Amino acid sequence: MLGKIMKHEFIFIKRIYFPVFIGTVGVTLFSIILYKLNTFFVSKDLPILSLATGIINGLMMSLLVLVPALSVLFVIMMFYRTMVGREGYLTHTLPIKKRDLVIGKNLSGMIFCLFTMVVSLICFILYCYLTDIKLYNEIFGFHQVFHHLSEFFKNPTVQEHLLEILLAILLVFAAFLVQIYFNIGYGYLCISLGQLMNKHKIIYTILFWIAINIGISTLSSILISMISILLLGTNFNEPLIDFISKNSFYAFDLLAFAMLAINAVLAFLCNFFSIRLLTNKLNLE
Amino acid sequence: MEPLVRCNHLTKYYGRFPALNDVSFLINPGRIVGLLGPNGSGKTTLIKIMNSLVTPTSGEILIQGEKPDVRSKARISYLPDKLFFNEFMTVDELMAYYEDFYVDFDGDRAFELFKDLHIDTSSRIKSLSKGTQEKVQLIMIMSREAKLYILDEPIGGVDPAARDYILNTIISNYNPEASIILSTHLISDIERILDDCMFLKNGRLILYNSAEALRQERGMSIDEIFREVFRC
Repeated sequence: MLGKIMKHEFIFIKRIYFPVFIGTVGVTLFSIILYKLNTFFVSKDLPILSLATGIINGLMMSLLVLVPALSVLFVIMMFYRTMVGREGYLTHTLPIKKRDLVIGKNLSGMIFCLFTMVVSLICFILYCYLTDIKLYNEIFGFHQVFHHLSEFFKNPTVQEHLLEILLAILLVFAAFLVQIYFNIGYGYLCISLGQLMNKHKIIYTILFWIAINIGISTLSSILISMISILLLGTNFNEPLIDFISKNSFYAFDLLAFAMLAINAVLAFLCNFFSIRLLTNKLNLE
Repeated sequence: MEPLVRCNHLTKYYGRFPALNDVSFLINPGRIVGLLGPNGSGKTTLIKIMNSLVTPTSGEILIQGEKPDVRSKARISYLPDKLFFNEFMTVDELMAYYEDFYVDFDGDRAFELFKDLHIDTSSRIKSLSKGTQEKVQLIMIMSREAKLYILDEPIGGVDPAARDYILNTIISNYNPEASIILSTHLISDIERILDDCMFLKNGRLILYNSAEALRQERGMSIDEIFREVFRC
């Protein structure tokens, strides 16, 4: 059932977001063409062309940032529509476990958000590569990136700790994916709490979002303070600090793993409570 | 014979307002039950509880002896009182959706019904008229081989000619071993097809008997009984 849910989620997402992707790619290509034209006619002094290039370039950059940024919000809004809105009457009467519903929607949402980031990144790289803008290419140009990477991996210290570095990259990527999953799951949890109210469900959803956010921020601040005091506040942990400073690659792996673990626990908690609420306290009034 | 639906002392409060108050009844297989009552009498709340869309404050409802769960959902075909499909879907996509999730969905039957009504299955639901959208919903619901059909106001928003079509679709497409719960306040239109009548008033079940027994007992049609019971 999980596969079927994800399949239909992607169909729904595609229906809305596919034109957005086409638009983003189209604006990027148009921006590249205008830039080339502007470069070609640079001696003819065409202010309208320069203005148009500037506007389209601005639009393209806005799209490349906004499309991935808004994708999480879009996924959460879609959850609201299909679970608490009118379409909830269909979703909740399907012979599917709530666990499959929530996890299926969360997973497909995460994949979709990752996809929007990849599309934006590809558009950006394409723009940098084809327009040959010096500023971009110094930072993001293929040659520069490959040059920096090869220099980095040639470093003897890096070669000595290659496994730890690769593990850290893998862990950071996994933590990033789980972070996206958690962000979406957090939205789902707030919607699951907001639907308990008979009226103003959206307002309550936002209030729950703010309240839980404050709670998590406070808790994490307290935890970080406690860990800092434990690690740095006494002489007791000097050997630990000494170990970290001598084994910074392992420490980085440990940090990446901690990020992954915290995000995974938070994502699990969000899913767990969302499923419980939607199973035992559904209120489609 | 095990009842299809068993409702035990069902109560539902919205805040301090009792939408349902100690409602108990049984529904046997093969019956068409009219769930009758004015607006705000608790019909939709009762239907939502049967479909696990709302949690009761107390009491329970059992479908074939089991609490509503995934298995009971597979046996119930539910038509809500509002459009509940994604409007951007085409009718074809909707059929594919139903085929994926409901093993008892008969796509051929649905397709034939769409053909009878000259509904283009490649058209988006959003592009159809309100009446046609309601017919699409009904066809999807009635194209399942369910054990229990729950129809909330299926003829509420359509013209009299369409009402006849809808009622004929219901009668000619449901599994005779299944039961239908039909909620409406347009009694005269559905009276001819009802086996049993359930009258709800202010969240309480005030009358539940076979339609024939009620007519004989009171010497009136169900429509007239409704008007008398719910006279303002």
